[in-house]
Amino acid sequence: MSEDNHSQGEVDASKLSRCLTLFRIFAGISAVALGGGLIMLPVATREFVDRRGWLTQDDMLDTVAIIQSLPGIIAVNMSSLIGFRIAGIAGAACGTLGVIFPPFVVILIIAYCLTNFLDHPYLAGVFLGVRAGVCAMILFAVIRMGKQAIRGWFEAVLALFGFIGVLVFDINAALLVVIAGCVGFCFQSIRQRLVIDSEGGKQ
Amino acid sequence: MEGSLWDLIVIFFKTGALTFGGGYAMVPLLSAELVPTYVSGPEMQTMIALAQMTPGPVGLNTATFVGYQQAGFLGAFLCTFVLAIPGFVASTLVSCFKEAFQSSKAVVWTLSGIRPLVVGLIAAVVFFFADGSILSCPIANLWRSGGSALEVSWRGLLIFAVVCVMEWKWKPSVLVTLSVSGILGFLLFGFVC
Repeated sequence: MSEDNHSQGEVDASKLSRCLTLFRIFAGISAVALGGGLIMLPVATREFVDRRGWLTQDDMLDTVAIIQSLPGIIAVNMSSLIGFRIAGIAGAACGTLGVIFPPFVVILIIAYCLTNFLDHPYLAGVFLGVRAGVCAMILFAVIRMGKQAIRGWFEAVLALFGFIGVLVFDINAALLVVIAGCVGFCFQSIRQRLVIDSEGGKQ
Repeated sequence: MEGSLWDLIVIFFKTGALTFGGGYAMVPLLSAELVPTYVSGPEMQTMIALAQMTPGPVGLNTATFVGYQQAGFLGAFLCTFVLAIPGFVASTLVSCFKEAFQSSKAVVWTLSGIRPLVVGLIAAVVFFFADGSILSCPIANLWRSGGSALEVSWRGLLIFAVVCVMEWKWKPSVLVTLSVSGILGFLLFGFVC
């Protein structure tokens, strides 16, 4: 009996230490990651696959594939999926808290300082320039995304629908997402039914 | 104030639940809800730009900014936290039912519609950022006035062009690009008449 308690204690301690490590590693990654969430991937692989062997390379590939299909923030999904794999829900929670914590602190500090300076005439010019720069960055991001995502007329129509809906008709973007999801679902299910029917007809 | 903080929380939760494709995909959803009721267009653009220059995911940083601006520390904490929750819950659920999720056609079908739409939404965001910095007239008005109200800021256009060239030839990091943009903005908008 005492042996069971002893090993249970070890398991708990090990899980706790894993959770703390998850928090620490994800906080470290988040603190220096500038750019999209997937940037975290190489570091996560190095830490969890190479250094500690807590995950396999296949696990990581699985994770990346699933992330693309999940809503929300990529970095949070990554920390949740990886954390869960390593230490269950507690691991997912610790990893996610790690991702959230450092940027939260940094932004709070910046926001606090900036609120006093937002109207400063010199800063106004800086912000205008940055906005124009971001405009160009997003343009390139759209072109990259478009090349990948737009493969046929169906996708092109949906993209156009989103573009015009928001820009000209001022339709709520969230509503468009829900509509697009339904449209995609219906279209593909109809298409699949047609394929099955035509194959059935050939027989 | 209590009422609008709750509304903000709902907005960020909705956004966290409906954003597919990370980063920029969140911008159209957030802007649609926040502008102009909570923040002005230019303010939103500035916050997003700053959210990109700082470490951490753009979406979370924006939530922290907006939350702080609207309701101080509590607002910042709640908006950031709530934005992360849908993704966290979804990830955890999927982890429990991994095989079912990965072999589910429903997921693939639904996403097949959302992904291309998001491309269109983000293309619209390009114009959102151009508004005020490069173009001097909100896009919606453009259609109505038949283009006559369009004013282009040559300074903004120049910075835009410079960044385009940088992105095309060198693909520099976000920090470099935005620093250059900021410096150019300071020089062009701050001093040149």
